[in-house]
Amino acid sequence: MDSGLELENEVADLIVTELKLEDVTPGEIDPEVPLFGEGLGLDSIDALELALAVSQRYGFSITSEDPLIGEIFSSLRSLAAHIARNRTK
Amino acid sequence: MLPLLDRQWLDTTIVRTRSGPVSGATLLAQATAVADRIPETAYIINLCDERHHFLLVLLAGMMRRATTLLPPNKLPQTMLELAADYPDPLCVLDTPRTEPPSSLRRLELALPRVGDVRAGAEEVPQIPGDWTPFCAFTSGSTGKPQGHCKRWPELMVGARCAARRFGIDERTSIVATVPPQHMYGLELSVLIPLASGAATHAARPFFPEDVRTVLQEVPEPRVLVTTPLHLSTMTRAELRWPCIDFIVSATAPLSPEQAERAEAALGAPVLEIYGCTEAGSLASRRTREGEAWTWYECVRARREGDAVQVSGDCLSQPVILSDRLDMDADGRFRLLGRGQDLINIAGKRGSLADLELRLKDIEGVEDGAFLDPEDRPEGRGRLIAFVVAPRLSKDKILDALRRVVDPVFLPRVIHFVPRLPRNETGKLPRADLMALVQSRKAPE
Repeated sequence: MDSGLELENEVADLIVTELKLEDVTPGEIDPEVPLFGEGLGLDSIDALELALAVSQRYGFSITSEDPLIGEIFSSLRSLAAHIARNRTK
Repeated sequence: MLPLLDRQWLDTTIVRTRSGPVSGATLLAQATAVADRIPETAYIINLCDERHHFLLVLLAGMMRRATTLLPPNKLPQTMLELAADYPDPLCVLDTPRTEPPSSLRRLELALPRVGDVRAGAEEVPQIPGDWTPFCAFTSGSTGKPQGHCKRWPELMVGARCAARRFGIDERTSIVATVPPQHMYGLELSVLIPLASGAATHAARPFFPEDVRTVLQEVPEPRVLVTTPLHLSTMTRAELRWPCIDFIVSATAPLSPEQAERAEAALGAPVLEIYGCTEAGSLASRRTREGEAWTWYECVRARREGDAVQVSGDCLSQPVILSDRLDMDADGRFRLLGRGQDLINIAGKRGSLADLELRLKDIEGVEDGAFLDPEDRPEGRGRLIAFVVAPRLSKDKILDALRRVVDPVFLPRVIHFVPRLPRNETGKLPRADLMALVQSRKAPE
């Protein structure tokens, strides 16, 4: 399995576990579908928890100052790509 | 008549923006310029996202004697509901993200350039004591927002009282993660600065790193105004924090354990405010010291049957609290828990009855109910919904709900059932709904 797909699976797992999503399994998250609002339907509470989980797992902070902030959370794929670019662990 | 801002704060920084500090005099001059652009209107719906903008529009509305309506959320449907009772409001916005319904009048805020204004002999605008500059709305149990209108003298008494309780004065720099539209943020980041000369930062930092950046931008003494959710993420973020004088938390209760962890991680005392939209802030405690709350000096509390009524110079009229309190002999109190109808998700208060009305309003939903599961840690987690809706899907229901309720109240799980176990009076005892959840979790 290529490492990009592996990371996507890992992040999907993180989302379901950290946000305690009961109704969906990691494999069911379409990597291109919006995470927030419609699509997976996450809200601002989730954004905060997810950013924290990402910083703890991958060793870098997400901030609102990041010029890509609109894109980072736009889908599983973009979140995983952002993590790949910035991870320190 | 009471001044909008005390003369002594005209040369004091009241707002800190990214482009620099704004003094009281400059703020009034900016607000006057904004007021000049506001057409004749009895009501304003202030949709400004940014704190400085929000404050300008609030002040401008007061100068024009237009009552500001503060909706519980920014959904177009909610604004239409307000307009039904408060006709022809003017919606003022500062970002295209919150478009009001097209049937309502709108005005885009243009930030005026007034340069630096020195305090001169100009009169500070005066506000009539018997007029209500704004009404804060809650989602009532009737299915439409309920307004709680407030008068300026009482608001200023309350703000000064709160500032005294916490030791906030003109040297203080306030950084708030909460929006100014709801009573907590309005009091702490708008009214208290106007009353006490403290400076509020215009930003609304979100991620822990954002909060740290803004805190570092302001001089000491720093006061952080936040909620349990943000406090929890900041505590776990493992960042090094600048010196914070103290932290205020409100909108949902903190446990002493959470408070201790936060104090250790952030290096500052954690204080809590107890209040509500109807009455504003009423009492405080230092959470780690124990459960008991102490009323503000200006608050009088009296038992009325099962409930508690508060009154005082900080309240335009007495308010019956919807929480159940246990008052002890020395005048302090403990919270016993809320009425059954009220829910609190990450600090946002809602009414189960209101949510159910919205759910049942959806075409195709024959019956519906919401359940607040007992085990939501730190007030997070979400609601569960039950629907009798043979032709609908979860997505369809969520799409419909998303238009009329705050996102945090959207159910994470929707159980589709053939019927709901209502009793003879049509009620759905909570225990029965819990049992329903359990039965669906049972292994096949």
